[in-house]
Amino acid sequence: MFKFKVLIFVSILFSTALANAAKLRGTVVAAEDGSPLPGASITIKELPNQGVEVEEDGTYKIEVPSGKYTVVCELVGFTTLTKSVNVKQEAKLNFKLESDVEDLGAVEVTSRSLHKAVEQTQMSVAHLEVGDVKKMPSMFGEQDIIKSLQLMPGVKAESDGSSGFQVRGGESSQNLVLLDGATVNNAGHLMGLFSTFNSDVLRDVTLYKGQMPAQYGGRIASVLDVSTINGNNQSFQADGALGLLASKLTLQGPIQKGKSSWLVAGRRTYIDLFLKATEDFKDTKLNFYDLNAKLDFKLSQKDQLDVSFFNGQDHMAVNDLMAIKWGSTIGSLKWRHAFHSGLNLNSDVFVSHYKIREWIDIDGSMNSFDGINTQASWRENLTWKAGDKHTFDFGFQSSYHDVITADWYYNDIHECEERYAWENNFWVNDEWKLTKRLSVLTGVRVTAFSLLGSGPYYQLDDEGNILSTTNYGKGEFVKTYVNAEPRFSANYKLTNNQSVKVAYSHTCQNLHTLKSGITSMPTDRFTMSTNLLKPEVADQVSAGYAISFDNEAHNNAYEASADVYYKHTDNTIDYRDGVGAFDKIEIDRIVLAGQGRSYGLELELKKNFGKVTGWVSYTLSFTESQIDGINRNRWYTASNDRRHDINIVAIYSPNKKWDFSASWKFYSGQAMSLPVGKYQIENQTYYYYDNRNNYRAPSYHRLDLGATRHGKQHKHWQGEWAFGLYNAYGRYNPFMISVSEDQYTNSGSKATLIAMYSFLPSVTYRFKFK
Amino acid sequence: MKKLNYILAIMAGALFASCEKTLELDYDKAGEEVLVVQGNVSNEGIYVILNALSNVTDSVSTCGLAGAEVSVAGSDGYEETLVYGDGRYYSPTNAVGVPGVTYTLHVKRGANECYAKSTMPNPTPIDSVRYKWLKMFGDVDIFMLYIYFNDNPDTEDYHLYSVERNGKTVRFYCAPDEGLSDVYNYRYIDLNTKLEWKEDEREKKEFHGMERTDVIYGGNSFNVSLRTVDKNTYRFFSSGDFNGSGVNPTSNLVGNNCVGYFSAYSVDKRSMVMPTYDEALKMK
Repeated sequence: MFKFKVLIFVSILFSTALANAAKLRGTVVAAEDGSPLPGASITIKELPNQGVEVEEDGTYKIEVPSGKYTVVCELVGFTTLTKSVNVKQEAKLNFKLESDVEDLGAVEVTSRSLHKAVEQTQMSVAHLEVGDVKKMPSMFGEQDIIKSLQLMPGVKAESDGSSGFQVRGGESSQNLVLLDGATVNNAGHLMGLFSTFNSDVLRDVTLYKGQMPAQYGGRIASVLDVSTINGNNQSFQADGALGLLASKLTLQGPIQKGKSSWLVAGRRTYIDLFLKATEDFKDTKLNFYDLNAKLDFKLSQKDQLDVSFFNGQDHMAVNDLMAIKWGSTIGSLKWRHAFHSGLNLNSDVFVSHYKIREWIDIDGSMNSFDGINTQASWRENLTWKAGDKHTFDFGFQSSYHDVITADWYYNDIHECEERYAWENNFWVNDEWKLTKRLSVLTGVRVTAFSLLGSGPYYQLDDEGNILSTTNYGKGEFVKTYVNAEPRFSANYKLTNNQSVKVAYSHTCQNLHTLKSGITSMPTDRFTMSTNLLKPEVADQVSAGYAISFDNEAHNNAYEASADVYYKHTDNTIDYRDGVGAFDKIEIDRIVLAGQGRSYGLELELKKNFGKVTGWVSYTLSFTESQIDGINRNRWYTASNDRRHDINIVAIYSPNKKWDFSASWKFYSGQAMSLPVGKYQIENQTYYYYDNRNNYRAPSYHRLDLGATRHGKQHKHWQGEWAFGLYNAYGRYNPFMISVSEDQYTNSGSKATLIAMYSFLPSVTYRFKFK
Repeated sequence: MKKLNYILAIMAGALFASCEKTLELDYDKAGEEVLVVQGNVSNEGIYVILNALSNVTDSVSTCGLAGAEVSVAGSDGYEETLVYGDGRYYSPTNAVGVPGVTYTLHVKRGANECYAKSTMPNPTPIDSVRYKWLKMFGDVDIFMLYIYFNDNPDTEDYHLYSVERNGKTVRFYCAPDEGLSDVYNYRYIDLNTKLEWKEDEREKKEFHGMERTDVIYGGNSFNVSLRTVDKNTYRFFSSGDFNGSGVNPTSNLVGNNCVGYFSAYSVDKRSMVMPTYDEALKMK
């Protein structure tokens, strides 16, 4: 009887609460072009604990008791809008936000990323958003999102000036890079000096540092998810930039006003023109271009269709002697259907094709190398908001892979190794808000990777010699690897401005890359998992704390965060002792697989208000490997191990005309191998090594400066000048250190430091026409 | 392929105004005594050279260590303890290697002891040696030496090419059997030298008081040797690190703290003399 009374009481209480509950919903879009503004925050002044973030499609929904409210809509880079509304049962309130940035659209390391870290259940996420990156110093005057990411804790530049990045001890090849959902293999131009991404067309950039929702997978270090803007569906618009080494132009406009749009953006370097003026390099070609195109159609209130295309190509050549060309072509089709406000289906198909070709002709003897990595995928993801507590994602992705790890001609010899695979991924993910303070994100991803014929597969002895070969027919199953990848992340808000998080993830990777040099190059060799090479797997645990401070005039005036992590990897590969990337066509024969571990601490402190804004980040990290057959089977420091990284970024905006910026980086010495002795055989000096990576290179530090002068806003035209100075004090930072013979020294040996860049000034003119 | 990437790296570096400076580094020393072994059995004789590891900041010691027990045995019944003299251990009976025989080396010196095996292949005779200048990167010439030889198409051979200029080894190069069955096979060797036939003044031949090795002069003599070796010897020389990349070559020595190789090989040799500039003009 008592239980019955309790039930009645609870029912009455519940129905009373329901009777008083009302819904406020609406959209948030950019006033300029009508594009949705995901990530904008909706808060209610009268209910300080109530607030939501705008969804990917620009919609929001919030449950409030009936009453009159003052609703505030905020997004960095846009004017804050405040509206009053009387909510009875249901009310609709839309916001059109005006850009508060006079700049011409680029990328900014957002000032609200840390506050998002307080709110967001998923941990170890870094966001970059469209804003005003041109305030930041840039190399060659080219804004680069990956170089901006490298200023964040836990993200390391692979080498001086490189757009390759390493996350929490991982190699750059262990990062999954997505452009509008499609995989990008090799996200760099000119050996990594520029990233593939034209910053003028980017909308949102999110980096998951190993802890990722189950919708993502395929790499074990991180996922970089980059989305591009839709064209302006209100009016024609042209944006561009003229730089010393590269220029770019973006054109966009409506197909049907308010409903569909087109966008074309191109970028090209003309370094060749400068080289032609030099005696030494007048016969050298060196250029890249890339092209982004997008069509978007709002088919109905519930259907959105996007068609995206990307093509980027690099070309380096020395007259008739040698040439190298590489590039990616990506096409994708995305259809988004909203069944009702809480149920959305995202359907994607994409094809991503990467090709590298290099050749050298010495005295009529032609040597050439080709490599191809093609992926065709179909992906479905259903997002279901089940009430206020749960957000589920269910989905699958089916992919066909065609990888030619090498197709080479060497003198009269032709060898080729081509592999095919069919990969299927299934996932379910639930973001569960247990209480106002506690939310958890749980999920699992199942990966089934099937290696297909045709082609030979081998059995090897311990030294890498082929014991037997099995030839499989086309489409025949060679081997299937199945991995279940559980994910978990929890966020407990200690107060409105503080949270602690813990996370665990298990991830796997079936595409393996072997660097051909000290940094990622287009000539790197890659292969899929084979009958001998197992999928690389990683288990990562992490914990973090984030806090934001308000002052009298600003919310989140200061923000700080701290993360610690430990990651263990299995089946990661490294070269056998004494072999190189091109020693054997069969990649299984030149590598050995083993385990790795990395752990570290990441700290960040930001100032978000006033004329001077910026942040300081610090990363402490340790990365080690152990592979049987290498380094006498002992643990050794990984080649990408670097103990300390410090980044300091400051932006000074004294008035509407000028922005000034400075960034300073400090990296402690990169691990490297130095000999402990030497000997001579056949008049050649050999160096003797005791342990791999037993030494530290000299430390690295660099100051970059930038200044932007905004031009006057005309009716249809606005221009601005951007000035930059890379490596302002011209330090010779180590790019490579080698020990070699030198007949002019007493010892016969010398160590040489090669620095890629001294100081590099740049000037760029950017314009906008509409 | 290695050459291609080397050129690419140079090109990319040069294009972006790379800078270079010499570093003074504090090198560690090897934790234990390491013995460097060069064991040779060929149709020209049998000898073994032993040396100690040198510090990186010192000049390399090549004087040859005495005081070791060194013996060689063959699968044909040959067995001999080598004797020390002139910095090397040699066969007191002037024995030579025989193709097809598997030889075993044993070395013991203090705490260092090692064994190794090697089977002597049949020789690959040199047919001729020729040269050519190639224009690369604008006005820089590369001197290419072409070694033509008669490869045995029925066997898996590995070759070491050694080029001496004026009695000093300037190139040492190895290559696997590539299955070529042409009547004449050849291998070109890039000596990375400049064409300076006209430069005969003494000061132009020297740099810091030492003979320049990056310039070839008329009258320079070249000795070319072609060794046919087994796979293990090839692996040692092909995995050798001349530029500090961080790995030790793969050795066929089994034992305590020994580096180097033991190789039974067949060798053939040729010589040539570079023409003077005037002679070369007449030849054109």
